[in-house]
Amino acid sequence: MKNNYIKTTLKNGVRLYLYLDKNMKKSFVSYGVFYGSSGEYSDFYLDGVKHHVLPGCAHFLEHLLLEHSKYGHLYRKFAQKKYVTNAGTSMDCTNYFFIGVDDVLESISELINAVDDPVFTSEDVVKTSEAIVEETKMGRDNMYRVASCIADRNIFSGVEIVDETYNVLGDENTTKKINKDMLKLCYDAYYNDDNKVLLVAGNFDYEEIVSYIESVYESIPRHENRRESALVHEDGIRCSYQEEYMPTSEDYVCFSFKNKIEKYSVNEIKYFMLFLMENKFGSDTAFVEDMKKENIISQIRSMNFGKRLDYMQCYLGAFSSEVQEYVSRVLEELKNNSFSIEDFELFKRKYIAANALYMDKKYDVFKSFMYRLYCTDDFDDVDFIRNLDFDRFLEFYESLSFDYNTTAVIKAKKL
Amino acid sequence: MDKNNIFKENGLYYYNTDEFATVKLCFKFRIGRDIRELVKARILSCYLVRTSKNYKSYKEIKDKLKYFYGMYIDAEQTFFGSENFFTFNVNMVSPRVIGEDYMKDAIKFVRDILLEPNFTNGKLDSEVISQVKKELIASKERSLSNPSVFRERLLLNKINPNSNLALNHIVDASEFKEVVESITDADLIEFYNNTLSNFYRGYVFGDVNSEERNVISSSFSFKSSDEIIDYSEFIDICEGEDSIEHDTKQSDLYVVYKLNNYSLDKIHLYKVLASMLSTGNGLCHKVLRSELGLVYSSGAFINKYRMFGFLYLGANISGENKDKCLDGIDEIFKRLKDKKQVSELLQYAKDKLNQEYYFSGEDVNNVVGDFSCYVFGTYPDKEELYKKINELSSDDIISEVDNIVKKYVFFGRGVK
Repeated sequence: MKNNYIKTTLKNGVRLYLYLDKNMKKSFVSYGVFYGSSGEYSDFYLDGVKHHVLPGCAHFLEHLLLEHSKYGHLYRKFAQKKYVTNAGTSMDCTNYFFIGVDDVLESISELINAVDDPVFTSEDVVKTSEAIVEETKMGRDNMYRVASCIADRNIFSGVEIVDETYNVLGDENTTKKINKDMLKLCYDAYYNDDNKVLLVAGNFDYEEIVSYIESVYESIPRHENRRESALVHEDGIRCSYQEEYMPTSEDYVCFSFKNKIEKYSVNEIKYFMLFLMENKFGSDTAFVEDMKKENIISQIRSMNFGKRLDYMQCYLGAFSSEVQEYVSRVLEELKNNSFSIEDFELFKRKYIAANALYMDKKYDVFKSFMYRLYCTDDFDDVDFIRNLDFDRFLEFYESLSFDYNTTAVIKAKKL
Repeated sequence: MDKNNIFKENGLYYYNTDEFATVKLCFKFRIGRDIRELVKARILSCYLVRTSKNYKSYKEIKDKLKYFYGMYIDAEQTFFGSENFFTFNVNMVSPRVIGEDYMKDAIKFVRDILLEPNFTNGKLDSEVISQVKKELIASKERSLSNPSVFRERLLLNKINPNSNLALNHIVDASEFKEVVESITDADLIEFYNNTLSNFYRGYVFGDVNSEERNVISSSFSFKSSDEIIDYSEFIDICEGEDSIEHDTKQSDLYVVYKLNNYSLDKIHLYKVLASMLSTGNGLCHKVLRSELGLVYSSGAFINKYRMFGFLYLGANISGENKDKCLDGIDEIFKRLKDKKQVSELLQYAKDKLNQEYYFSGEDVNNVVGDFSCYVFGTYPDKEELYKKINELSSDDIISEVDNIVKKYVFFGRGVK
């Protein structure tokens, strides 16, 4: 995969990635911007003036730009062409994509125009808010999302990654307060050309497709970067423990910790953290089996990590009836250097295969391209994994601290 | 899927391709229909992948799976229509892609997991089986404490109260717990032996050479049955209306319709109808979301929950919008009688389905899925199906709509 993407930067600063494959019968196109639902994007300077916006603006724009474009409802138009089409907003990116066969060049132009030349009105904003209000309610009923939102809010100090709605989309009240002016502000701040990425995958000729895309942008106004960061955050955490009651049969605990990591590449961090988490908290580990036998947990549900501000943030989710005991055991286990090179080599074999299997589902890989790009555009491959070094992992591990941590608990409330 | 890639050898079906890195094995065994059989299948499916005669601990098994390049093994209780199966799946990466000739050893390990279970003197490993049961009970309690899941399960109970076709009908976690705890080691060993003697069919997908096929044949002496299973079972459902309240933000509205004229000959028509209702350009999205602004998410499903002959429409809405949503759903069915609208939707649905069919070969999941349907007979022949789809007219759809009868309305109101 690493060698199959051709990267170039267009005249207006948009980054273009091409995946050219003569065997592909369908084309995949995505257009994304590094602007997402994280609260770190809610405060910014635009043309020197400081602004604060409500949560959910990135997601709101995601709905608005294509549902009320200069072509009308662009999803509907793309559906008429029998495309698969969708968009998504993560904490750090918004991404619009289509997969199709016919009229792809025309659709590339339509997608770019819809995103880069918005025409939405105040009435469109009100209309769009209806579905978003329902979506915010779905998010608020999802206990796993609420738990991770509480953790996200509390692990950072000085900046509200998530506000007190405990929902990155906001809630009914905040959604109804978002207006056209606020959305235009966010658009102007974040949808600048050098903050955008276009991915085109399919059976294309390099010169032809680049030339075509450049010509599309010629008739679209440039979007200069007029934004400066207003982000202020401190080391330390906001709060070490918080609980909320929701319908569930047993307590759900989301334990999170963060570290600033400087000496290692993004891909090294990714694999080293994967190894650490799987080696400590995999379902087959003695640690987890013992905690289950002692009825401290019934299941480890999830473990993941990601980049947030200058930190790497990790999450460990489990169903536990003994929260304090669980957290103290996890911390103890994290500090326990019980790694073996045999386990490390087995881990590498597993991920060599995972990497080899990626392109069997290439369209899923393309859909997640933007989110990977947020972290790095140095895509790893099988050779990278083969060359991962155990001693370097141990150095990495020794550099970690688990002092900055927080626990979010969803307390069981009977249905 | 290219049928030229399919052949049968030593009792198993093979799909030979080096287009993908994925290699997959799947074996299906027929099991009974009552709750105890299904629960035994659940318990055994967890037990078999955690301990075996030669690999006693879970860590040993997981380490072996990692050694074989992240091979994935699972066993599960599955169903199609009225038939239940114990299904054993293996996923691995092609040795040619990895550059190591490991598959023959991997297959021998798979054989050990499936055919050399940890049964000693008529007993299972007491610690493992106790843990498995505990986790299954906890998992059922958790799922039933989720309001959306509970509402759907309750609906199934209400429309078909005497059904024992699936564990999805259980709404009382203590009922499940009682069954789990009552199942003994002897029950499970007997179930295992009976199941293995009831092999239905199996397949191998991917780049597998003749040497590797020989190892598979010598490891597994299963012979695929020629029996063609009739999966259909049409059951009547209760009529009525009911609701329940929970402390959630969202409410769930379900409307269930009986398809009075349904038969297996009409699968193509209902596939198209589902597409007309449910996809991005479909009527549910158009009416309930774009026009009325009542939902973020809604969908229509045909033959969900295994009872053939039902259309089930679900929408996540706010509590005060139940009646508006019901009116919107009635409007959807009115538009299904309007020739101009049906004509447009029908053409769109056909084009979309055709495109999915013709270009499905680029994604391994689609190809494996089609091959699986072919082997197990769970759907009619795709070529035949799409020929019938393309022959459908608006009149076919409109005349069928009269046979769709509303039977049950269930509202799970959120009061938070």
